[in-house]
Amino acid sequence: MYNTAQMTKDGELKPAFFKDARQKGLSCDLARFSTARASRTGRGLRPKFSGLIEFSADAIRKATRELTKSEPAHDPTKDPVRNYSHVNIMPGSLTNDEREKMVSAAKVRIAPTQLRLVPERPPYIITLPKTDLPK
Amino acid sequence: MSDTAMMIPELAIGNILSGSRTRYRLGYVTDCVEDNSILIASLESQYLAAKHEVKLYGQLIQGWDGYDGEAFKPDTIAEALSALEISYRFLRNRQVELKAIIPGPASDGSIDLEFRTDQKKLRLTFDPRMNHVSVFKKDAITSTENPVPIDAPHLENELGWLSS
Repeated sequence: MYNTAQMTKDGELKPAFFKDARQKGLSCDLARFSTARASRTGRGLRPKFSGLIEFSADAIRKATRELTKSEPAHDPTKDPVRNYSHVNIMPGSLTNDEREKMVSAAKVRIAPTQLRLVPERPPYIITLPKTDLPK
Repeated sequence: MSDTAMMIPELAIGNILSGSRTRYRLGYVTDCVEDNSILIASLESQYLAAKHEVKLYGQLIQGWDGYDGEAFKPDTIAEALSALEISYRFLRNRQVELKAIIPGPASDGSIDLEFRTDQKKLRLTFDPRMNHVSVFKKDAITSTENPVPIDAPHLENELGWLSS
């Protein structure tokens, strides 16, 4: 998450955060195979002021299983960046009820550090040292 | 010092309990609220903050969410602002005590407007691909979701649920 518009003033995620415009599912990283910095910045693809949200796998299952019958799937990627920790969750669109459950399950661990609702123009992209990349 | 100023607290309380005309000592503090000015000012403050935020959505560019988030169409923003104003007027007239008005941008270009009271949530979703507004209502027991035409009478009908 990198836009403060996606959070309430109380630091809670807004349910609209879980709308999936691409219909490809939402991406996250397995904490065991990643670092906070690497996940925050999407391994260099996202702005360095991005925030970080934490879910437990169990919470995702409980929130989404009824409708989508889906499991969080470990899905390592190579393109556009190599990311062994990548996980795809929730393919398809969620109902408002399910989004509510996801909001309850989410913990905002790091809020976006750029507090502007309308961020400054790019370039946002940063380059991570190679040591942060999974082997 | 006048006799009003010298009135002892016990006597003042006695007057309140007996319903007789009360004379207060100077500086006497009560819990009585003469009008709903705080409620209305709070509602106005929330309305203005939400309006400001929705207007800012017009400046968000493609990819605003860090992924493929769509830019918001002027028509969607206008619809949300119009509904916000209708809601504000309705809630002010009904003197509904709101906890928060929360606008929410979504990556598919739709805008949520959420109205929260202590027990209830009502969320309006304005989707540029739909010619109706989606209304989601949730309280401690149930939740429902249904499409409603975008006009004042229908919106007011839905908002009435918050005060029922």
